[in-house]
Amino acid sequence: MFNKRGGVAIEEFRGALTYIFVFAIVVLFFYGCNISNIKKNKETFEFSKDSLLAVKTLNSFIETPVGEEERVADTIVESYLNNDYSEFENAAKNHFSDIEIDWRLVVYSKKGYLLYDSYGYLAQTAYYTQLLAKSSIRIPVQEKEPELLNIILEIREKQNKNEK
Amino acid sequence: MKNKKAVIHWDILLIAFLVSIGIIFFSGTLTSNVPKVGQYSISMTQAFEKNSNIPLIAATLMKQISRNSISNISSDVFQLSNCKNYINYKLLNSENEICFNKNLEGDFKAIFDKKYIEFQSKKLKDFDLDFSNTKYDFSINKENEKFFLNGKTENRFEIPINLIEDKGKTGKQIGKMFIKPSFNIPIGFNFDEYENLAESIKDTINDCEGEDNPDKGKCVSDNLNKDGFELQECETGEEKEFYGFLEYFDNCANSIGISCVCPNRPQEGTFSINQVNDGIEINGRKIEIENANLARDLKIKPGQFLYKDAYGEISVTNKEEGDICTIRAKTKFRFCVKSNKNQYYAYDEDAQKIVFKDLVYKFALQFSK
Repeated sequence: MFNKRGGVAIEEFRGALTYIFVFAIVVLFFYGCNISNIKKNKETFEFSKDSLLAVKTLNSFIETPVGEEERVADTIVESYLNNDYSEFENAAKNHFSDIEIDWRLVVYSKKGYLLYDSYGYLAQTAYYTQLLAKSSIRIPVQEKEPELLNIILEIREKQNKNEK
Repeated sequence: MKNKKAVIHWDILLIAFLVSIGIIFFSGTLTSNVPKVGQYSISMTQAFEKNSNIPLIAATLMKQISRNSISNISSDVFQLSNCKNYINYKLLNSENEICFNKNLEGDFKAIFDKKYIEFQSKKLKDFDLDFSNTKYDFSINKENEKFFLNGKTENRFEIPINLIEDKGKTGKQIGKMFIKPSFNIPIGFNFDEYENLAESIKDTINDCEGEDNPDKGKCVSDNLNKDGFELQECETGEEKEFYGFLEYFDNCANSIGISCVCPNRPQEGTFSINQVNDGIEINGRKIEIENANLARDLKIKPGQFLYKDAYGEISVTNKEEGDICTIRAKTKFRFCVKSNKNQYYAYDEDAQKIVFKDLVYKFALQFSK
């Protein structure tokens, strides 16, 4: 039925409203997807950034000079051979004390045995903060029996000091 | 009645809108392989950073092989010389200049090379660096009184660069990088000291030669206990017993007289003496002793003596009676000289750890009189 006063027919408004409604839903959907994408990209970027930080930090750590002619990489090998990781632990504490990250260093043998854990051998995994990124280096040992040490640096979310 | 005005067909518009959305989604799937801005650079930076430690890992490995080689050399520096053996000691004398090893650095490189080849042949599972095709040119350099081993190679590690995708997953390969694992490492051994000692030994032999110096041990001690060297006892009780018997056997084999008993038998120990194709074995160890002819395979117990029969062949007797062989004047002496300036770092199997070890030079000296 037409408006007698010459206005727009009410049926035409129904179509327009449906269109506007669907348009709004789709726009919102796209917006949502976009936000999700941005978030995902940000996460990926953060992860890449943290991964890069983990790689750089581990590299700079194993290259740190210890004494006149040695580097931490040599100390790791000696610690394994001596079965005493105290020198390695000291080197790690000295190196990471100036770095504003929560770190965990773990050394595994080629068969996957835990040789060293900076959190301690009996650390409860329940108390670990979220893992942000990790990097690993494999160093072969030629003395004693041939061995392959797998040194892993984990970067974890900073722990609240009150929780410690 | 028909509406004369133009009518907007919202249903068609809606369908067109939905179709366009579909097209957008479809085109989205078509372009999904295009990497995000920065993804290449991040992937490449990660690959460069991750593999920048390869020279360090190579150096750490080579330091171990070097330490192993030095340990091998240091246990008996004269072992590779051309000198004759005197009961497992290299016999140095002033006449045989050539027997002094002139190229200890070359020996070190040879041992290092051998150990490196051993490492190459034993491929470590899960070790991502494959050294099997990496050949080095080794050279030894001296900088500020310290020796360094330089290893240069033209063989490169080929490392793929992969795109890093979500949560560090490795994506398609976008390139590759090449790294030559050349290295320069400190050796921790002073090759000059050996040459200095060799010179001192030659001087000592000349100084202590002759009948004017009847106490050779003291003369050698006076000559060598200086310039950072110190004579010391280096044989364990077991070694002393073994070498003591070898000396007795050597004296007997080269004594004057036949059908006689060899005197001065050290009292400890039981020894099996066997004739083998190219010499003799005492307690299973091959020994070089001149004029050592056995009547048969022997076993000598404490209290027994060696006997030299009419053919000059050696056997065992229970009593020191009858004719006594004349033992020649002692002209060969065993020495151990400890370096007071140098120690070397080595893995000790007994202690099961890496320790600083004294560098001890073992050798025997021969005087003409």
